[in-house]
Amino acid sequence: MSKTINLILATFFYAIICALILRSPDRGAKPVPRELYEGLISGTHQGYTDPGNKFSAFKKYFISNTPVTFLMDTPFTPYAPGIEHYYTAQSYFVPMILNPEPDEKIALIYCSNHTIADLRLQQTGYRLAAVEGDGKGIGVKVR
Amino acid sequence: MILAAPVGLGTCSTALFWAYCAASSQGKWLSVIFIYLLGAYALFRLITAMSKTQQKPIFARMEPAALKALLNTRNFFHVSISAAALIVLGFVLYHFIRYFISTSCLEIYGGWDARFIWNLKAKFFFRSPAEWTGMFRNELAFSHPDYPLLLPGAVAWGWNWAGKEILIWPALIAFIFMICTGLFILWHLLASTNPWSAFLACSYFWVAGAYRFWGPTQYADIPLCFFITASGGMLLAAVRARENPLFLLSGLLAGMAAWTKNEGLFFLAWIVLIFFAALAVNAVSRPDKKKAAIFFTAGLSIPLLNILCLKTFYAKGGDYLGSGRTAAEYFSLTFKSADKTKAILEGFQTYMTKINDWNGLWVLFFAALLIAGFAGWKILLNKHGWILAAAVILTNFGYFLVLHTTPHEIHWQMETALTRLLLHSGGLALIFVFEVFSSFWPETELRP
Repeated sequence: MSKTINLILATFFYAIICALILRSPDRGAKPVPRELYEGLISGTHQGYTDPGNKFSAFKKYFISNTPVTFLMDTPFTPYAPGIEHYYTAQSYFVPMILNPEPDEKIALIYCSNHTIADLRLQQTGYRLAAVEGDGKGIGVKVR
Repeated sequence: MILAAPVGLGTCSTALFWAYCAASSQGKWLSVIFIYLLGAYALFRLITAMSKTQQKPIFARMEPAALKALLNTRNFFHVSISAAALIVLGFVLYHFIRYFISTSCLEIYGGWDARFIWNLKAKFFFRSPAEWTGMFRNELAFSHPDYPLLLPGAVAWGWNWAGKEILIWPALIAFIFMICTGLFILWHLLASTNPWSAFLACSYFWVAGAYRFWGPTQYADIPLCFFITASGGMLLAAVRARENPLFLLSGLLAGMAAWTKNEGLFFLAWIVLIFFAALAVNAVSRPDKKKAAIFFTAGLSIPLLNILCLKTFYAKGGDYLGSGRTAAEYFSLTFKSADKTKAILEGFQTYMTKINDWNGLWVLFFAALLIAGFAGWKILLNKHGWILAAAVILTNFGYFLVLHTTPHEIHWQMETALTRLLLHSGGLALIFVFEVFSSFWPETELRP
């Protein structure tokens, strides 16, 4: 190709690149409370709450790291609505294993309300041993 | 320097993995001590090398020559456009860092995969070294026990060192990989094109919507993108400069890509193929080819050993490898489903042309490919640019084939994964685009 065509092609390319850089959607910085910055830098984590903290009330029931069943509104499927509770709980209780199948002697019950919890306890063969809120508690395997 | 932090993180992860394999409950301190010793040795080597002033630099031919030439030139026009591009880069970098910090602060626990796959595994390493193999149990199938462990290992190593699960560390790792990928693109283009191309390409990378979105999520896709970009770029640099240590680095980086994500294993296979093709077409002597092959294989062998150990002893099952499906089933799934093939092709077209994600990167890549095929053969053949194009095309072709065999519904699979898969080879595509188009700019004293 002639030098002129080459120059036009290259100039056209750089112009397009500049236009594309300038047109980029504005994903600007969002305002962040100063407390969060400081909490992160200092390592105190002030202002942050671990999503798994909602399960902290159950911690006292688990002395060893023996696997525990995690009982939800419905039997486990990997992408069911509300499955995030199970994954969050597992992340919180590591290295203790939370089994989504009703195979373990102890169950952590995390249902939407007590009616569903009662039904799930019946279906899976557990009895309620401790209550930690509406539809939440600890179950013990009976069959 | 650009490779130091990512390769260092990969090394920490490797040390941690082997320390836990060898002495699970003692693995924590063992891996920290090993890295301290390795660091001390590297520092000693660096100091002794610096004291030998007459020594020839190892990567002399891969220095950012365009930058050096720019400092010495008297061409006002070239200095002006380079300065303008540098200002754009500075502006983009400033806003990128602000964006990254604010997003990370507000979403410090990361995205779904970060919370429930990568950092979950890191917690097993950190909280109970004696029970770290718990992460491979069947009950945790949702966290994919067969996934490689570079990222969890790097996160856990930092936590072990600090003695607590510091929240900033996984975000810092994500930041390091995003910055280093951009800087690698900058360095590579400074060594092979002109300064303004390098500055604009780096800016382009940091403003591309897909990279900005996935960067702070702490997913393993950006680290994989770094290792793929660096391995491919390093292979090209090695072939151009004929420096054996660069082959070693390319192999090491390809191995680390495989130690980051299963997709990296595919890349490893492709880059080995490209490496041998590059040796075959290159006019070098047989002993030199042999030497290059030894260096390349040595580089990738250590990370590959990690994967072999992981897949042989700890995580034997997986969605693909070890899933129990036969080769005949895979063949049938891949080649006998026209509807699926059509859906995947449409998916690639849809996701590659999303302007807010890619800023037109893939359109430019195919345009560069077309133009290079017609008029830019010099860059493709004489300057070995085909290595980049082949790495990008083969990587995505591999994903195209694998998508046929997914156990999930194809549209859902593409919706959740295709943009992230495209991230992996985007860095190499960007380098290729700039190498091709900048070659049409009239020869200047700034081009190496």
